[in-house]
Amino acid sequence: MTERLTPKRNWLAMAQLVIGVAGVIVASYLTIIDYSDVKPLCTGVGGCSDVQSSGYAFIGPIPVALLGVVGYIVLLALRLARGRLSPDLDSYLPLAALGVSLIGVLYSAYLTYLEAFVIKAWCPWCVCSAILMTIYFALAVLDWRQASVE
Amino acid sequence: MPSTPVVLAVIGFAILVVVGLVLLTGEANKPAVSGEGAATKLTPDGFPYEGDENAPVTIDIYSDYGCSHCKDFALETEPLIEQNYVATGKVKLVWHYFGFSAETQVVAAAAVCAAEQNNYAQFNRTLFANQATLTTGNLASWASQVGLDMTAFNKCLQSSDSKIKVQKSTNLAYAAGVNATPTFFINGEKIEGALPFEDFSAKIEQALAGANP
Repeated sequence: MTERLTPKRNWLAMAQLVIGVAGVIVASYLTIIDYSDVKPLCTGVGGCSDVQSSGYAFIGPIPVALLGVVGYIVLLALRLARGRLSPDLDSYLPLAALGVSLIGVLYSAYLTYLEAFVIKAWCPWCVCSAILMTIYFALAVLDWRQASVE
Repeated sequence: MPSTPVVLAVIGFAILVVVGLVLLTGEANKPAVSGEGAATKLTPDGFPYEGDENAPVTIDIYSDYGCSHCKDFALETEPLIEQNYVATGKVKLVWHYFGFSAETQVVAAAAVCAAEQNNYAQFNRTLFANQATLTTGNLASWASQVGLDMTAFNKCLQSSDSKIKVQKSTNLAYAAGVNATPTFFINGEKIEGALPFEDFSAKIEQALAGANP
Protein backbone atom coordinates (compact mmCIF):
# COMPACT_ATOMS: atom_id res chain seq x y z
CA MET A 1 0.00 0.00 0.00
CA THR A 2 1.34 3.46 -0.82
CA GLU A 3 0.07 6.95 -0.10
CA ARG A 4 -2.12 8.49 -2.81
CA LEU A 5 -0.80 11.96 -3.38
CA THR A 6 -2.81 14.87 -4.69
CA PRO A 7 -0.63 17.60 -6.31
CA LYS A 8 -0.92 19.69 -3.14
CA ARG A 9 -0.02 16.80 -0.84
CA ASN A 10 2.77 15.82 -3.20
CA TRP A 11 4.21 19.31 -2.79
CA LEU A 12 3.89 19.03 0.98
CA ALA A 13 5.55 15.61 1.06
CA MET A 14 8.43 16.80 -1.11
CA ALA A 15 8.91 19.94 0.99
CA GLN A 16 8.96 17.88 4.21
CA LEU A 17 11.51 15.48 2.77
CA VAL A 18 13.78 18.30 1.56
CA ILE A 19 13.59 20.20 4.86
CA GLY A 20 14.05 16.98 6.82
CA VAL A 21 17.18 15.99 4.88
CA ALA A 22 18.60 19.52 5.17
CA GLY A 23 17.94 19.38 8.92
CA VAL A 24 19.77 16.05 9.25
CA ILE A 25 22.78 17.49 7.37
CA VAL A 26 22.98 20.68 9.48
CA ALA A 27 22.45 18.89 12.82
CA SER A 28 24.96 16.16 11.85
CA TYR A 29 27.56 18.82 11.03
CA LEU A 30 27.04 20.42 14.44
CA THR A 31 27.25 17.00 16.13
CA ILE A 32 30.54 16.19 14.38
CA ILE A 33 31.93 19.51 15.64
CA ASP A 34 30.84 18.63 19.18
CA TYR A 35 32.70 15.33 19.04
CA SER A 36 35.91 16.72 17.56
CA ASP A 37 38.30 19.61 17.92
CA VAL A 38 37.27 20.92 14.48
CA LYS A 39 36.18 24.54 14.56
CA PRO A 40 32.83 25.20 12.86
CA LEU A 41 32.85 26.95 9.52
CA CYS A 42 31.45 30.29 10.53
CA THR A 43 30.69 33.25 8.34
CA GLY A 44 29.19 36.62 9.23
CA VAL A 45 28.51 36.95 12.94
CA GLY A 46 31.17 34.40 13.87
CA GLY A 47 30.03 33.17 17.29
CA CYS A 48 30.00 29.49 16.31
CA SER A 49 32.77 28.39 18.64
CA ASP A 50 31.35 30.35 21.58
CA VAL A 51 27.97 28.65 21.17
CA GLN A 52 29.23 25.18 20.28
CA SER A 53 31.75 25.14 23.11
CA SER A 54 29.37 26.58 25.70
CA GLY A 55 28.04 24.34 28.45
CA TYR A 56 24.60 24.65 26.81
CA ALA A 57 25.72 22.64 23.77
CA PHE A 58 25.51 19.47 25.87
CA ILE A 59 23.01 17.77 28.15
CA GLY A 60 25.41 15.70 30.22
CA PRO A 61 27.50 13.80 27.68
CA ILE A 62 24.90 14.19 24.90
CA PRO A 63 25.37 17.04 22.40
CA VAL A 64 22.16 19.01 21.87
CA ALA A 65 22.89 18.80 18.12
CA LEU A 66 22.58 14.99 18.35
CA LEU A 67 19.02 15.46 19.64
CA GLY A 68 18.46 17.50 16.48
CA VAL A 69 19.76 14.67 14.28
CA VAL A 70 17.45 12.22 16.05
CA GLY A 71 14.50 14.62 15.75
CA TYR A 72 14.95 15.14 12.01
CA ILE A 73 15.42 11.40 11.41
CA VAL A 74 12.20 10.65 13.32
CA LEU A 75 10.37 13.29 11.22
CA LEU A 76 11.74 11.76 8.00
CA ALA A 77 10.76 8.27 9.17
CA LEU A 78 7.23 9.45 9.98
CA ARG A 79 6.98 11.04 6.52
CA LEU A 80 8.34 7.98 4.70
CA ALA A 81 6.06 5.63 6.65
CA ARG A 82 2.99 7.34 5.25
CA GLY A 83 0.85 4.98 3.19
CA ARG A 84 2.86 1.98 4.35
CA LEU A 85 0.96 1.22 7.55
CA SER A 86 -2.62 0.17 8.28
CA PRO A 87 -5.10 3.02 7.63
CA ASP A 88 -5.75 3.31 11.36
CA LEU A 89 -2.08 3.78 12.25
CA ASP A 90 -1.48 5.87 9.15
CA SER A 91 -4.07 8.40 10.27
CA TYR A 92 -1.94 9.12 13.38
CA LEU A 93 1.28 9.87 11.48
CA PRO A 94 0.51 13.56 10.65
CA LEU A 95 -0.33 14.18 14.31
CA ALA A 96 2.84 12.39 15.45
CA ALA A 97 4.90 14.56 13.07
CA LEU A 98 3.12 17.62 14.40
CA GLY A 99 3.99 16.60 17.98
CA VAL A 100 7.66 15.89 17.22
CA SER A 101 8.10 19.11 15.24
CA LEU A 102 6.33 21.05 18.02
CA ILE A 103 8.96 19.71 20.44
CA GLY A 104 11.64 20.71 17.93
CA VAL A 105 10.35 24.22 17.35
CA LEU A 106 9.80 25.00 21.06
CA TYR A 107 13.22 23.66 22.08
CA SER A 108 14.85 25.51 19.16
CA ALA A 109 13.17 28.70 20.39
CA TYR A 110 14.68 28.11 23.85
CA LEU A 111 18.15 27.50 22.35
CA THR A 112 17.84 30.66 20.26
CA TYR A 113 16.91 32.56 23.43
CA LEU A 114 20.09 31.17 25.07
CA GLU A 115 22.18 32.37 22.13
CA ALA A 116 20.67 35.85 22.26
CA PHE A 117 20.54 36.52 25.99
CA VAL A 118 22.73 34.04 27.87
CA ILE A 119 25.68 33.03 25.67
CA LYS A 120 25.42 36.32 23.75
CA ALA A 121 26.84 34.82 20.57
CA TRP A 122 25.21 33.55 17.41
CA CYS A 123 25.89 30.30 15.64
CA PRO A 124 24.49 30.57 12.08
CA TRP A 125 24.28 26.77 11.77
CA CYS A 126 22.15 26.57 14.93
CA VAL A 127 19.92 29.40 13.68
CA CYS A 128 19.67 27.58 10.35
CA SER A 129 18.53 24.41 12.14
CA ALA A 130 15.97 26.41 14.14
CA ILE A 131 14.59 27.94 10.92
CA LEU A 132 14.40 24.51 9.25
CA MET A 133 12.54 23.11 12.25
CA THR A 134 10.12 26.06 12.21
CA ILE A 135 9.44 25.49 8.50
CA TYR A 136 8.95 21.79 9.16
CA PHE A 137 6.50 22.58 11.94
CA ALA A 138 4.50 24.87 9.60
CA LEU A 139 4.43 22.11 6.97
CA ALA A 140 3.37 19.58 9.63
CA VAL A 141 0.48 21.86 10.66
CA LEU A 142 -0.63 22.15 7.01
CA ASP A 143 -0.28 18.40 6.54
CA TRP A 144 -2.24 17.63 9.71
CA ARG A 145 -5.03 20.07 8.77
CA GLN A 146 -5.28 18.56 5.32
CA ALA A 147 -5.33 15.02 6.72
CA SER A 148 -8.07 16.13 9.13
CA VAL A 149 -10.43 17.32 6.38
CA GLU A 150 -9.89 14.29 4.11
CA MET B 1 -8.70 10.43 12.28
CA PRO B 2 -7.41 11.13 15.85
CA SER B 3 -10.01 12.61 18.19
CA THR B 4 -9.64 16.01 19.88
CA PRO B 5 -8.50 14.51 23.23
CA VAL B 6 -5.75 12.61 21.41
CA VAL B 7 -4.62 15.81 19.67
CA LEU B 8 -4.59 17.68 22.98
CA ALA B 9 -2.70 14.80 24.62
CA VAL B 10 -0.02 14.91 21.90
CA ILE B 11 0.38 18.68 22.26
CA GLY B 12 0.51 18.36 26.05
CA PHE B 13 3.09 15.60 25.80
CA ALA B 14 5.19 17.70 23.40
CA ILE B 15 5.14 20.62 25.83
CA LEU B 16 6.11 18.34 28.72
CA VAL B 17 9.06 16.96 26.72
CA VAL B 18 10.24 20.51 25.97
CA VAL B 19 9.94 21.53 29.63
CA GLY B 20 12.01 18.45 30.52
CA LEU B 21 14.67 19.30 27.92
CA VAL B 22 14.83 22.92 29.11
CA LEU B 23 15.25 21.79 32.73
CA LEU B 24 17.94 19.28 31.74
CA THR B 25 19.80 21.92 29.72
CA GLY B 26 19.71 24.30 32.68
CA GLU B 27 20.70 21.50 35.09
CA ALA B 28 23.71 20.64 32.93
CA ASN B 29 24.95 24.17 33.44
CA LYS B 30 24.83 24.24 37.18
CA PRO B 31 28.36 24.40 38.53
CA ALA B 32 29.35 20.79 39.21
CA VAL B 33 31.98 21.57 41.78
CA SER B 34 32.44 23.62 44.90
CA GLY B 35 34.04 27.02 44.87
CA GLU B 36 31.09 28.85 43.36
CA GLY B 37 31.43 32.53 44.05
CA ALA B 38 34.71 32.08 45.92
CA ALA B 39 36.67 34.83 44.25
CA THR B 40 40.37 34.21 43.86
CA LYS B 41 42.73 37.14 43.96
CA LEU B 42 46.16 37.53 42.37
CA THR B 43 49.48 37.72 44.17
CA PRO B 44 51.88 40.53 43.16
CA ASP B 45 53.57 37.87 40.95
CA GLY B 46 50.26 37.23 39.20
CA PHE B 47 49.38 33.84 40.71
CA PRO B 48 45.85 33.18 41.91
CA TYR B 49 45.42 32.77 45.64
CA GLU B 50 42.67 32.20 48.13
CA GLY B 51 42.55 33.21 51.77
CA ASP B 52 43.95 35.96 53.96
CA GLU B 53 46.96 37.47 52.25
CA ASN B 54 48.69 37.69 55.64
CA ALA B 55 47.82 34.12 56.69
CA PRO B 56 50.64 32.53 58.75
CA VAL B 57 50.88 29.52 56.42
CA THR B 58 51.19 29.59 52.65
CA ILE B 59 50.72 26.48 50.54
CA ASP B 60 52.13 26.79 47.02
CA ILE B 61 50.47 24.27 44.70
CA TYR B 62 51.96 22.90 41.48
CA SER B 63 49.57 20.69 39.50
CA ASP B 64 49.32 19.45 35.93
CA TYR B 65 45.87 19.12 34.34
CA GLY B 66 46.77 15.72 32.93
CA CYS B 67 47.75 14.28 36.30
CA SER B 68 45.21 12.06 38.07
CA HIS B 69 46.72 12.56 41.56
CA CYS B 70 46.43 16.33 41.03
CA LYS B 71 42.75 15.74 40.33
CA ASP B 72 42.41 13.78 43.58
CA PHE B 73 44.00 16.62 45.51
CA ALA B 74 41.93 19.34 43.82
CA LEU B 75 38.62 17.58 44.30
CA GLU B 76 39.08 15.81 47.63
CA THR B 77 41.78 17.37 49.79
CA GLU B 78 41.79 20.99 48.68
CA PRO B 79 38.13 21.64 49.67
CA LEU B 80 38.88 20.27 53.17
CA ILE B 81 41.90 22.55 53.51
CA GLU B 82 39.72 25.44 52.41
CA GLN B 83 37.02 24.65 54.96
CA ASN B 84 39.36 23.98 57.87
CA TYR B 85 42.22 26.38 57.31
CA VAL B 86 41.59 28.91 54.55
CA ALA B 87 38.17 29.93 55.87
CA THR B 88 39.66 30.42 59.34
CA GLY B 89 42.42 32.70 58.02
CA LYS B 90 45.24 30.29 58.90
CA VAL B 91 46.25 29.25 55.38
CA LYS B 92 46.67 30.95 52.04
CA LEU B 93 46.53 28.70 48.94
CA VAL B 94 48.60 29.88 45.99
CA TRP B 95 48.24 28.06 42.68
CA HIS B 96 51.15 28.14 40.25
CA TYR B 97 50.52 27.75 36.52
CA PHE B 98 52.23 24.61 35.39
CA GLY B 99 52.15 22.06 32.59
CA PHE B 100 54.50 19.23 31.63
CA SER B 101 53.20 18.99 28.06
CA ALA B 102 52.24 21.52 25.38
CA GLU B 103 48.58 20.43 25.76
CA THR B 104 48.38 20.86 29.52
CA GLN B 105 50.17 24.20 29.17
CA VAL B 106 47.31 25.34 26.91
CA VAL B 107 44.86 24.21 29.60
CA ALA B 108 46.90 26.10 32.19
CA ALA B 109 46.72 29.17 29.91
CA ALA B 110 42.93 28.89 30.09
CA ALA B 111 43.28 28.85 33.88
CA VAL B 112 45.31 32.08 33.62
CA CYS B 113 42.33 33.59 31.78
CA ALA B 114 39.95 32.41 34.54
CA ALA B 115 42.27 33.87 37.18
CA GLU B 116 42.12 37.22 35.42
CA GLN B 117 38.37 37.10 36.04
CA ASN B 118 38.97 36.18 39.70
CA ASN B 119 37.39 32.78 39.20
CA TYR B 120 40.41 30.50 39.24
CA ALA B 121 39.41 28.10 42.04
CA GLN B 122 36.08 27.07 40.56
CA PHE B 123 37.44 26.83 37.01
CA ASN B 124 40.44 24.83 38.20
CA ARG B 125 38.17 22.28 39.91
CA THR B 126 35.81 22.15 36.97
CA LEU B 127 38.75 21.28 34.70
CA PHE B 128 39.91 18.55 37.05
CA ALA B 129 36.35 17.25 37.50
CA ASN B 130 36.13 16.88 33.72
CA GLN B 131 39.69 15.65 33.23
CA ALA B 132 38.52 12.57 31.29
CA THR B 133 36.90 14.66 28.56
CA LEU B 134 39.17 17.69 28.77
CA THR B 135 40.72 18.76 25.46
CA THR B 136 42.37 21.95 24.27
CA GLY B 137 39.31 22.31 22.01
CA ASN B 138 36.57 22.34 24.66
CA LEU B 139 38.06 24.75 27.22
CA ALA B 140 35.48 27.41 26.45
CA SER B 141 32.74 24.96 27.39
CA TRP B 142 34.00 24.72 30.97
CA ALA B 143 34.65 28.46 31.08
CA SER B 144 31.06 29.06 30.09
CA GLN B 145 29.89 26.57 32.71
CA VAL B 146 31.50 28.53 35.55
CA GLY B 147 30.07 31.77 34.20
CA LEU B 148 33.18 33.48 32.85
CA ASP B 149 32.83 36.43 30.49
CA MET B 150 33.32 34.48 27.28
CA THR B 151 34.41 37.41 25.12
CA ALA B 152 37.19 38.28 27.57
CA PHE B 153 38.06 34.59 28.05
CA ASN B 154 38.38 33.85 24.33
CA LYS B 155 40.40 37.01 23.75
CA CYS B 156 42.72 36.10 26.63
CA LEU B 157 43.12 32.48 25.50
CA GLN B 158 43.94 33.51 21.95
CA SER B 159 46.57 35.99 23.09
CA SER B 160 50.14 34.81 23.55
CA ASP B 161 50.33 36.52 26.98
CA SER B 162 48.55 33.71 28.81
CA LYS B 163 50.75 31.04 27.21
CA ILE B 164 53.93 33.01 27.94
CA LYS B 165 52.81 33.37 31.56
CA VAL B 166 52.41 29.58 31.83
CA GLN B 167 55.76 28.97 30.17
CA LYS B 168 57.55 31.35 32.55
CA SER B 169 55.75 29.91 35.55
CA THR B 170 56.61 26.36 34.48
CA ASN B 171 60.29 27.32 34.11
CA LEU B 172 60.23 28.89 37.59
CA ALA B 173 58.70 25.69 38.96
CA TYR B 174 61.45 23.56 37.45
CA ALA B 175 64.01 25.95 38.94
CA ALA B 176 62.31 25.57 42.35
CA GLY B 177 62.73 21.81 42.13
CA VAL B 178 59.31 20.73 40.90
CA ASN B 179 59.78 17.59 38.83
CA ALA B 180 56.62 15.69 39.69
CA THR B 181 53.02 16.66 40.32
CA PRO B 182 51.34 17.44 42.53
CA THR B 183 54.07 19.23 44.45
CA PHE B 184 53.42 21.56 47.35
CA PHE B 185 55.50 23.94 49.40
CA ILE B 186 54.06 24.52 52.88
CA ASN B 187 55.85 27.62 54.12
CA GLY B 188 58.72 26.56 51.88
CA GLU B 189 58.81 22.87 52.88
CA LYS B 190 58.50 20.68 49.80
CA ILE B 191 55.91 17.88 49.76
CA GLU B 192 55.26 15.60 46.81
CA GLY B 193 52.13 13.60 46.06
CA ALA B 194 48.43 13.84 46.82
CA LEU B 195 48.66 13.11 50.52
CA PRO B 196 45.42 12.60 52.44
CA PHE B 197 43.94 15.57 54.28
CA GLU B 198 45.12 14.20 57.66
CA ASP B 199 48.76 14.40 56.51
CA PHE B 200 48.25 17.92 55.19
CA SER B 201 46.55 18.87 58.42
CA ALA B 202 49.55 17.62 60.44
CA LYS B 203 51.98 19.56 58.23
CA ILE B 204 49.84 22.69 58.45
CA GLU B 205 49.62 22.46 62.24
CA GLN B 206 53.38 22.02 62.35
CA ALA B 207 53.83 25.09 60.14
CA LEU B 208 51.38 27.05 62.27
CA ALA B 209 53.34 26.13 65.40
CA GLY B 210 56.51 27.24 63.67
CA ALA B 211 54.93 30.49 62.54
CA ASN B 212 53.56 31.23 66.05
CA PRO B 213 56.20 29.91 68.46
